[in-house]
Amino acid sequence: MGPGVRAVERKVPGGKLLRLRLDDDGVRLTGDFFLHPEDAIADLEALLTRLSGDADAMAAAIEQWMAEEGVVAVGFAPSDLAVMLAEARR
Amino acid sequence: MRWRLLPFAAYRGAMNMAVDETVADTVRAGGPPTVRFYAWSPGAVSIGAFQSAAEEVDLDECRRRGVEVVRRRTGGGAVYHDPRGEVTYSVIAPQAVFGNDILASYREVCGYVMSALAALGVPSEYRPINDIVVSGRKISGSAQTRREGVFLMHGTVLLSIDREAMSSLLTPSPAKAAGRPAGGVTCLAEHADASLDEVLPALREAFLRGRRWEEGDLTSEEEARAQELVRSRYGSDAWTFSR
Repeated sequence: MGPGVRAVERKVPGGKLLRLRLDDDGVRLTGDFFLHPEDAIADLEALLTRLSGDADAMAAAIEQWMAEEGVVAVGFAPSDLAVMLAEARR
Repeated sequence: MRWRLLPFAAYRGAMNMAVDETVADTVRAGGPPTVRFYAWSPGAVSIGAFQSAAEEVDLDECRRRGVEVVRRRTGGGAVYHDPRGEVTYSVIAPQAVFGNDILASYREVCGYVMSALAALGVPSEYRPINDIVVSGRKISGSAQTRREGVFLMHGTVLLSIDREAMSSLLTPSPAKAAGRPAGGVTCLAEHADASLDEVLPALREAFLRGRRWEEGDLTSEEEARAQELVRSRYGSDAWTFSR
């Protein structure tokens, strides 16, 4: 892993594995989770790339975006992503 | 509504995923909801829509063994599909048939598999989100997508296990491995003496119970569309290694 690259991995209890990678190109999210519709992943990654602040505020922003866009996650919650992103930005 | 049961067939991984998508297109255009049971030849590793092939699969080992890698359009984890050790199912129907509750639909379709296993003398349990276990060990996994009004769920039923191949080909992270039940995976052969000729009718009965159905082949248009999808998506490195 090169300089400036941050990677955070989280196995959600009772859920799925998430890997969040943050580098100069932004956030890349991989893992065995489900996202409906699947094509929303690029927009979710773009949202995560833009977000900053504390984990609670980011979780609320992710939740609001999912509700507005009709995106449903299975295997993780917005708060899981927010905690990982906060850790990656630390 | 009359369902279609496609004949059991073994295809390469890219074709299997292309057939699923093609049938989903057919259903979207008003064609019959469809169930298919199938195998993978040659053996293949399928990865979830959001996984990185490099993270989940030993690509050199796949090349060495002639095992193909294909990216699914469904989420979920990496699976080694042994050419003789697995029956895979797909159920493809208008979304209204299974409703909007994603977890409830996993439970319903997993219930078909559990019913078939019970008919073969193997009691099993549903383990949310998308697994079925026998004595705590996974025997079936599944994944679903809903696209433009069409529900597609596919999943595995392990008949036998080549543990050496599975552990050589898949490279799960320690965090993922730690989240698995202590027993790991199991297969039908460890619990029942059932041949494919017995497993397939049990699955057919469980998936189509209470439905009007008939056997039918892929149409020539579907065959051509699937072959095109192999070329344009599922058989291409651009798709397989897109993450």
